[in-house]
Amino acid sequence: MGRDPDLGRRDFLNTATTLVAGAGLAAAAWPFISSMNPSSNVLARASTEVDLSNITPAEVRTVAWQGKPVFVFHRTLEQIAAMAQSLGSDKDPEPDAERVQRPEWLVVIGLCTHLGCVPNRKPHGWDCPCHGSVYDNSGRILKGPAPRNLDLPPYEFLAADRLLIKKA
Amino acid sequence: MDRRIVQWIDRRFPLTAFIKKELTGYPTPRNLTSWWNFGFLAGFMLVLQIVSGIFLAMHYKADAGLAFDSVEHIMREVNYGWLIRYLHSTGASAFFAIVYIHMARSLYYASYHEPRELMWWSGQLLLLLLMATAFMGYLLPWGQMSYWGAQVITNLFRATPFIGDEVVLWLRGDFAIGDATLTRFFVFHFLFPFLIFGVVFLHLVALHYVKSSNPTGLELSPKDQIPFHPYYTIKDLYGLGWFLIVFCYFVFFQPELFIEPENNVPANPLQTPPHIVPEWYFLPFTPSCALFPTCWAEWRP
Ligand code: HEM
Ligand code: FES
Repeated sequence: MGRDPDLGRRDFLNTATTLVAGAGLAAAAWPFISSMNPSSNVLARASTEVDLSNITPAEVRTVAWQGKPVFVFHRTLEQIAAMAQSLGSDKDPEPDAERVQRPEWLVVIGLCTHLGCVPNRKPHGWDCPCHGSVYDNSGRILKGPAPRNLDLPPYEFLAADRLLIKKA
Repeated sequence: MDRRIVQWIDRRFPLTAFIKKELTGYPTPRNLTSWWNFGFLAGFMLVLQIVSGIFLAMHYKADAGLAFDSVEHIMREVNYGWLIRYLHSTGASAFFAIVYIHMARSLYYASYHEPRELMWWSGQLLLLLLMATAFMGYLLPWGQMSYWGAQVITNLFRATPFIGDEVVLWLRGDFAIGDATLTRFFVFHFLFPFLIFGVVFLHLVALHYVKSSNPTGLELSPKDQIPFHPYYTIKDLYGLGWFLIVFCYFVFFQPELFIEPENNVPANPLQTPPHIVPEWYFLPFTPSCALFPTCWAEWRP
């Protein structure tokens, strides 16, 4: 028995209809998915400007950037010199010079790279209260479960005493 | 799907048998016209209202101090929030239009006759639940129309013999429509569509037991029945295409047609707007207001 000559045509129409309907459904789903992303008012506060003129040497100012803490650390000459001596630990060795734009200002995201707690300030750097990770004054991981040095946010200096932590 | 997976399921759950009985083998009159599309469309609208409603609820705040602004936030700042809200507000009107046509079909073709009386009565219950849902949803944007509409309708309950005042106070949870009213309306507005879903299920259980009516008004012999799938799945989807063309015209080009301008003014308990009108889908019931003197006094269309 010969094949129905119409079958190829029907298969084509079936496939084409299904594809068009699938594309339509996907297009209709997009606005709903997109509505769960940050809205424009949230995006509008995605960058933070910091006035550096009243952060005294050795002081750490914690500012909010995209709802997260950022440590803005005004380092003294001794602290800078000490940090230039080492690469941190074997875990994530990194020269201090690559972690700062200006040596007197360390700007790091204040969330432990282990599971995201906010480390507490200590003379040697920061200690995480959650599982005991220890960071130095360059925000580099020394010991504990954290895998990486504290992350750096994208930032630039607008003037000598004005810092802009930017949108990524 | 792999035949072995289907067989595994079929030994434990009547999947294939169910699909055969209710879909691929379900006997449907071969002479149904497009008027029989509207039940399916009503089901589609229920799903669309639930989906758009859930996404609105992710950004909406049910608090008298925040509600109005949160709807503006949805309109201006949430990605596609305007679209989701217009789908929902236009969807309410479309839902009623479809349900009214569906009911008109039932009346004209006597679809409510023996043995389909319970189809009619479960449908009546669905209409009541739908009206309650839409009425409570309309308070949520907390505009002037929202507020005074709720004021007037809750006042209807003042006609309850002996305890009218107490009933109204209880419904509102406040001396006037207020924060307590808004919060409970939001909870019920969220809940009721799922009750509707349950009653729709019962409506369909009854339908598949008594089978569809048809334009002749006679019971057809088996040779005049055709399987629901593919014939009526295709017909329903084809009708959905036409419906969506009309619906999208209103959503994208005339969305404010179904939102009273006055409702873009935040609710003010101390001032009623000059013209209070119900949504068009409640107009058929407006004359019944005359039965309730307190209602009539406050609500002159
Ligand atoms: C039977 C289905 C439904 C109907 C007929 C309906 C009807 C309405 C109406 C008439 C409004 C006012 C529209 C406006 O002026 O903007 C509204 C608002 C709202 N509804 Fe629904 N709704 C339904 C289902 C749902 C569901 C399932 C949810 C949530 C799970 C929901 C959540 C909301 C929210 C958050 C608002 C306030 C936002 C706004 O006003 O646009 N709705 N609804
Ligand atoms: S989160 Fe900081 S050590 Fe675990």
